[in-house]
Amino acid sequence: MKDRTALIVGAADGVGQAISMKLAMGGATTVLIDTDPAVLAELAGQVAQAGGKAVVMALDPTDAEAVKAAVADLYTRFGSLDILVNNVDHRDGVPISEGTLESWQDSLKQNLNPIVSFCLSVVPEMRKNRYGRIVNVGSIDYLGTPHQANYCTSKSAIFGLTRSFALELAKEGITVNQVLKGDIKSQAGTMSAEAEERLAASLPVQRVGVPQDIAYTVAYLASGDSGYVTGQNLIVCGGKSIYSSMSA
Amino acid sequence: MADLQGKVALITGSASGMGKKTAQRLAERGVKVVINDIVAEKVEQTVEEFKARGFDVLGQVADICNATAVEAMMKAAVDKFGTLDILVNNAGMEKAGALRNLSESDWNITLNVNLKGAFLCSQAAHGYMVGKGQGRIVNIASRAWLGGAGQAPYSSAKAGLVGLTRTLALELGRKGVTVNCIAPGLIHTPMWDELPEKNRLSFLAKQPTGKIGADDDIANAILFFVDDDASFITGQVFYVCGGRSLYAG
Repeated sequence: MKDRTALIVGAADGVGQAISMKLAMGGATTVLIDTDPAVLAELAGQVAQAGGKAVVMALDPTDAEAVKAAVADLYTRFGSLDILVNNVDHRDGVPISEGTLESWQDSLKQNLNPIVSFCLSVVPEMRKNRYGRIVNVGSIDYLGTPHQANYCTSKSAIFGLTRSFALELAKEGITVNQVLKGDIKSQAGTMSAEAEERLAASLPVQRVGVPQDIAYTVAYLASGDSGYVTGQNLIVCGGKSIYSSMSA
Repeated sequence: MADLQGKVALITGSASGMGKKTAQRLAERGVKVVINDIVAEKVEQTVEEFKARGFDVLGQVADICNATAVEAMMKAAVDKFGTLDILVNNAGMEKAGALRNLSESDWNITLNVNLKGAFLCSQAAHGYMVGKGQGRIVNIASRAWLGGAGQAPYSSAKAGLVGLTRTLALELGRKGVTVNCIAPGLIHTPMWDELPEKNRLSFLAKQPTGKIGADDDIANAILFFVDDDASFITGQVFYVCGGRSLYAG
């Protein structure tokens, strides 16, 4: 990833921070994108302290115009945009009894619009170099989860997007893949020790995941080593997905 | 990427092709490798070549369809290197043909090498891994498990390997052993170069990338799964096929 420019959208949460650090340590110049400038500045400081390169860009990723302008600006500054990691995750699921059309539209706006906007803006720049790595971070919850159908719907949409973009860009050196996260202990999580123990006991590997598990997988799919892998979904879940028919 | 230095890996069918490339890539990272094939000369040749490059290597001529031979091979590996960390079930072969043309022996040998061999090797190897609470098993299936006209035995065997992967992942997960499956698509082999150009072009036309993959693409994926950092990934089927698995037809 040396000398590559990597955009990490949704860099501020636990998984986003781990991805940013991993890509920066792999030699990429990282662009940390999220809404809160203070969190981004702190993360950029940590990356720099570890010897990595990071610049921050605070914006609302659901604002298509803002995304377009930001990507144009980044292309001018860096001359190439090689890696795009879409890690936005807005857990806003509601049970059917509380669901409204608005809750569906809002889930799609928060979880899907940023991916679409960034892909549509970044792909033309990747095409110029005939090289690109797009990694969408989804969730195993797309398989279906009670009480959060609106959230799951927005995560399912990443499938069709990933596969269609992958096919459309396959001949241009641009791969598009998805990493699906299972149960991950994020920094923002408020899981009690008992709850974590119970959860761990329910997983084949007997432990809850950490953000670094996702970052490791994202880094492989963002690297030059995965050029023959496109349109794929890799579920990082400690084996939780095995019983599902949708996981092979 | 974690440090693989000093780990021990056994790769079946590693005297040529993808298996050999994987063994080489692991050895370059400091892994002690066990080279296996059923043909003695091929094993000897690869072992000599690896020794000349300074790799720590052991050759094992064994029929992976024979439980006694497999057990002896695992024991020899552990006797020599002290442990076993990584098993790559890579050995495979195919008897292809239309349903009406296939014989019972075509079915038996294809199922035996691709599926029974992986079962026996996993069975013989897993004890060493479970004992220390850590291990990696990677099964090399094929995109063809999704179905391929003229490939009844091979597709069935590789589909079986997917089931074996998922089941062993469930059984061994609590012991720190991950079990994953790579499903390669079209990969450049010596056999590819012997195909008539017409056939090659027809295969390439079905590739979304328009290209064929290299054995290094598969080795990269194997290295991804055997890493210490991959401990939260198990029971997965991962296609390395240039997107060929995505669409019908």
